[in-house]
Amino acid sequence: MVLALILGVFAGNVNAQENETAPDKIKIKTALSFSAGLLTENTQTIQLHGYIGVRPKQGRIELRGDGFYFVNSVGDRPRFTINHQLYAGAFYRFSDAQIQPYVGFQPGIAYAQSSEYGRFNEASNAVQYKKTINPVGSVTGGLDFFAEKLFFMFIETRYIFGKHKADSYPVFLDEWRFSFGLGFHF
Amino acid sequence: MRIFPLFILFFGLIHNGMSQELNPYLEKGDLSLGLRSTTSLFGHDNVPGLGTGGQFRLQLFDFLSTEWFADWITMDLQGAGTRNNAHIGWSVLFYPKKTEKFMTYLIAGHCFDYAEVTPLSTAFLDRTDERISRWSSAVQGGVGAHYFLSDRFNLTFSTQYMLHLGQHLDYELIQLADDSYYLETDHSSAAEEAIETHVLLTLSLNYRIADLW
Repeated sequence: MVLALILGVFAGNVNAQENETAPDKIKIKTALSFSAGLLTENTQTIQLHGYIGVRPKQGRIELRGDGFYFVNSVGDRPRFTINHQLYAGAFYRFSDAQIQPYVGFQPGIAYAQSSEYGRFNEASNAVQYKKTINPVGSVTGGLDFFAEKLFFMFIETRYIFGKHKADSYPVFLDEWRFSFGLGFHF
Repeated sequence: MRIFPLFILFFGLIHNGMSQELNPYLEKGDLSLGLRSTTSLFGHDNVPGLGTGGQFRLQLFDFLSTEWFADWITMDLQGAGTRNNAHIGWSVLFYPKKTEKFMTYLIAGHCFDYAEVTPLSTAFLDRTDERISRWSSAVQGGVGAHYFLSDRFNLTFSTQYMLHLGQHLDYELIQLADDSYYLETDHSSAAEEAIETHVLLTLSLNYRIADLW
């Protein structure tokens, strides 16, 4: 997300002489939503999801950074106590109309802690669950609905792939997520 | 360090005679930032790894660019442990053919590599003292292609073969009778100088942020 901001600032300021990306022709979107996720073994997750995106107003490519704050998981196998994720990547918009479908790809990282598999620590005489950062990736598709001058709504789904690896058994991070939220666009 | 000027001279001579106006999407002085997702294949343990990283590219000439990258790649060693690799390095990209939106290139470079192998521990067994790690150096080379979705933005896919030079990690993934695996990290013998290789498939998203000259 930070990188997307940096890219946006550079795109707007470093080469302001190029009409395509002059600051007044840059579109910035920021949005917030709750995101529900589906894991295998009848398990669901809930996250707080926020993003910021930057693109030229006349362009179809949007650079976007996303953050997911893990809130909770329920079901037959809630396997993480922590699973926060950050993504940055690019989206392609198929339309400039009021309803804009889009697809995107974002590499990212997951900061996660298994709730199932830990290791015995002889010093503390307890089982410890290591928090680690692992690479993830995601493909996303969705719709933006621009109803007002400043506000918009979005609905999207993404598939996340990756694996949590620490010092005990690995756990898949694969998940389908669905987000429905509101945002500002400038 | 002497290799770099020779490399430029060599490819400059090859390039001489081609059209000087190579591509409207690639011009000398371009600086771009990118994010990348990498898959590592056919390595020490023949298990795939997934990595995330970033890069910036500085276009030195119309036909030659440089790429400066960092990757964090993790591997699940058949459920018996974890291997983490960090790559930080640079590559030179040579564009042999004049094309438009789709641009192929040759790539070669060098990187520093940190690798760490951690055997599986459980709630009843702590094997963290068997963790091993090392720093080494590597060279990589391969082919790739940019696809320009706009004059500023491109998708890039590359395939590279990486050779690790120097001390290798002394461990073995042993298949047990029940088809499970055990990771043995052998500290009894000194690690040897050896060549370890793997293939890297990288997909990156790149955005041109400046035209420096």
